[in-house]
Amino acid sequence: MKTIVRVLSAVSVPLLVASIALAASAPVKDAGTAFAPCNTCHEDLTKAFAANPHARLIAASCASCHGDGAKHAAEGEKSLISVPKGAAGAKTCLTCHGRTKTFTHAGSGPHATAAVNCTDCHSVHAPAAGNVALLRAASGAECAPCHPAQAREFAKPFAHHLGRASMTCYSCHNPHGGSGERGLKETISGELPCLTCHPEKRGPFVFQHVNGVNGNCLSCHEPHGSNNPKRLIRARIDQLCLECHTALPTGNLGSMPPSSHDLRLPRYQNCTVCHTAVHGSNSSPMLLK
Amino acid sequence: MINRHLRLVALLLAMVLGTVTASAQSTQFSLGLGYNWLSLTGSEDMYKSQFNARQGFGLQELSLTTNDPLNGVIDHLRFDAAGFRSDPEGRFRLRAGLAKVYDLQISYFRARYFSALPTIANPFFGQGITPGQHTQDRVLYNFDMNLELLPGGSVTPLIGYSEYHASGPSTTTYHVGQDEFRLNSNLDSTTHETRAGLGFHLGNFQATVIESWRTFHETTTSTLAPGASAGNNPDPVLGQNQTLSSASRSDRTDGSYAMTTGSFSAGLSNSTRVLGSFVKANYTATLSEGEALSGSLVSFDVARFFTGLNVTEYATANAPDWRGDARVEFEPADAVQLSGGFVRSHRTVNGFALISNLYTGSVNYAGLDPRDLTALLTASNAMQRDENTVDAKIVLKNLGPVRLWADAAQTDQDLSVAEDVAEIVVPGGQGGFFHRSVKRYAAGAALNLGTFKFGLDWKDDSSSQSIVRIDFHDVKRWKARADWTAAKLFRLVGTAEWITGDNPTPDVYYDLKTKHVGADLEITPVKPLALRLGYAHFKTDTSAFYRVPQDFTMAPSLYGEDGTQKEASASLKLARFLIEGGYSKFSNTGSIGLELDHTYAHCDFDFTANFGASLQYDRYKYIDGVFTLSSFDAKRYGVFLRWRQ
Repeated sequence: MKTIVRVLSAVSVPLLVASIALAASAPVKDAGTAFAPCNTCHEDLTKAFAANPHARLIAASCASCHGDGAKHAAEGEKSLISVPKGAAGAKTCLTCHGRTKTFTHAGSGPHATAAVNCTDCHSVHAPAAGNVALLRAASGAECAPCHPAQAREFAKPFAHHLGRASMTCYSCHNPHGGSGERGLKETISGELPCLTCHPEKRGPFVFQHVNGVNGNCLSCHEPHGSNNPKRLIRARIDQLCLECHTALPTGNLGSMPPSSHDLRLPRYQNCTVCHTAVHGSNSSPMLLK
Repeated sequence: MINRHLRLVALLLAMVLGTVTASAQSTQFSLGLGYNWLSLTGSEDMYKSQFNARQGFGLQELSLTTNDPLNGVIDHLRFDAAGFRSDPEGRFRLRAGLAKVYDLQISYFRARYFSALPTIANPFFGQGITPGQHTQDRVLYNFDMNLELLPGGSVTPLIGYSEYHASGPSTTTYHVGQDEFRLNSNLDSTTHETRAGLGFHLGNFQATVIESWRTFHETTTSTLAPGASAGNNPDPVLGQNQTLSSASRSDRTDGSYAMTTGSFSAGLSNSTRVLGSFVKANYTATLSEGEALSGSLVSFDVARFFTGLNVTEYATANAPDWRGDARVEFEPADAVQLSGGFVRSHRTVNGFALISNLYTGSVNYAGLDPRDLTALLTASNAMQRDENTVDAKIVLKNLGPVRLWADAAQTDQDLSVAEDVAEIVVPGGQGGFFHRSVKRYAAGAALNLGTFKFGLDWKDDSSSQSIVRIDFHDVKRWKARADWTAAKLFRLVGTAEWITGDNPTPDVYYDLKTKHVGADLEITPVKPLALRLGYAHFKTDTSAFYRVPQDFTMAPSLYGEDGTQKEASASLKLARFLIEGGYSKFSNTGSIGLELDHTYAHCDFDFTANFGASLQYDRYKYIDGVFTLSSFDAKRYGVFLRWRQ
């Protein structure tokens, strides 16, 4: 906590000085004049847009996205104004938003291929109430219509609870395209997002399991929800372990238990009764503690 | 620590509220507070393992948004919080900034995590004893702060700080003296991360470089659980019963390391872009452990009986780790996208554990005097993975309502693992050089007729090699989606997905079949009334052969799911009154049989434009088909008052 206060203090002081020095240049939009002549016919839109981050933060005007609207304003013809939508509209958005790492793969990711574009999920003029990312629906709710199978996995008994506190789809996924086809968000050190909330599994361990060698958290766990305790992908732990830990002459990675492990006895059907440090150990090569 | 955080948040909020309210011209504020009652019958352990919502006060919502300038310090501010107390999770987020000067984001997340399950680490499940021997009741929180200076500029300094903490009691087991004993354990784990970097935005060139410093401290103390002296194994070993009269253990792990991350993207022309990223971390961790126990035990490792043991351990692990990737994207024509990429990741682990065992009251099996033992365990291994990917994609966009795309890609993986990763069971099969080449062909079509949309995707991954036994040689996936909207009256969405996979290697014979079909119907007969019906069926069957340890025969590992989910809900909104209710039933047969029903009714009423109330009812009924004592029926009632300004 002391560290937090120190960091906050260290950040606040220069921030305050810089802010006061630059206060005079902070833009303030007045919908009545800043969006003329559009506000004559589109009063509701321009009034709402004045509070929009685009207007506040970068002093965007209607022309920033719609281009020169003078002819449209004079003649009132809809075809004379550019309305960014579809893939072409996405390019308009990415002109500015493409600046950040989050959007690096936005133009070529799975959503772009499937013709899912910015305005399918976001509304510049009419976002859902209280929404920080100008989303059309509540956080996470806009993913379910296109990904119902994944959404239903959260209804299983052992699941991450979407909607409770800060857990949403994009707690783990970057909808604008992340690494791999699932668009997963990585931690700052390039790891799976699981380690953001489960860092004790990170290691390094003197004796590691699959961590960082082959496979990852998803080799054994269902990330959304599972019928099995601990969100495991199998109902019995010995089956989960032995599907990999069967040494064969095929040259795969993975050894097998000795013959003293008699699977007819319940204690050996629960590998983790003894191999408690299954994610990695600093003192037991057999991951016993 | 948690209370200190909350006090800090409350103080910050009060300061912000007071200041903003004093000067703001238009501020949106909402606060919803209330109380939840819980009525639970059946297994409390299973309920808490699945939901963990409790009785007590709860924060439904707290949010503050203002766009008004605040003395040139803040021109936009948003704060929101929810949960805490009766909810197992709670969070707050704050975003504040001044255009072109700074953008500050702070978040705090707190969760209670409970686990006491009948089938986890339970050698006595067949005798009806629950829960298993591994349980947890922990609290974790995550504090995160990010500050961007001069947002929108060519060079933007970035500063961040994160803190993660987990603590609480648990039960675990310890394998010693040819038996397993239950231990009561307590965890205290903290991770700090401080970071600073720069973002560059120069025309078509964007880049970010961040240096981070992370420290990690974890302490675990464990003692023999009451009544656990006899262990799990009732049978004597070498004619002697294995018992423990006392056991205590204390572990401390510390880690400290720096990380460097960088990424860039550069547009070389209108049709060519280069992207890349780099991560480098030098992970280190040290462990010190003290352990003392007394009882009547036997060790095959050192061929002796003993009545007490004092163990001290010291271990350290160092893992330099880096990963770099680069990718070129080229669009020679509007419909054609070509790309090629290379990823190399490398990790070396150098570790050793020095273990000193002092056996007391011990004799070996021949009756000779005992010896003390000092063991030095070393681990030195390395992993390097190279991946080359080439990808060619054609997207035909200008076909009227039809959009077609096709994709062909090949990924070559080379994995080199030096021996001496965790020898989890017996030595061997833990290292070597592995090559795997995966070819992917995929295609898709989309039809958009305005009120009717249809999409179909197909993907086929094939390979002739596997690195671990569960790597597939062939995976095919079909995915279809139809969406029909008729005016504003109804919307029907149907989806279907089939996946098949196999690894036909002799003695593996891994096989996967899964399918999922679902449909959702939304009906809006009149504007205030909305009805929704949903149905889904899923079925999964996997099989793989494994070698049975005790007799070396091959046996199938079979796993199946066959389930349905049915939902029905309705909502009615009339002026200041909103009522919604619904029912969903999730049932599964296969390897695990279960049912989970959810019934809910929520009612909101606005007394005035600013004040309102809501009543909430949720019922979760869980029926465990394997172990009926794990079933529960939980009803939760909530009353909340709401103020919106």
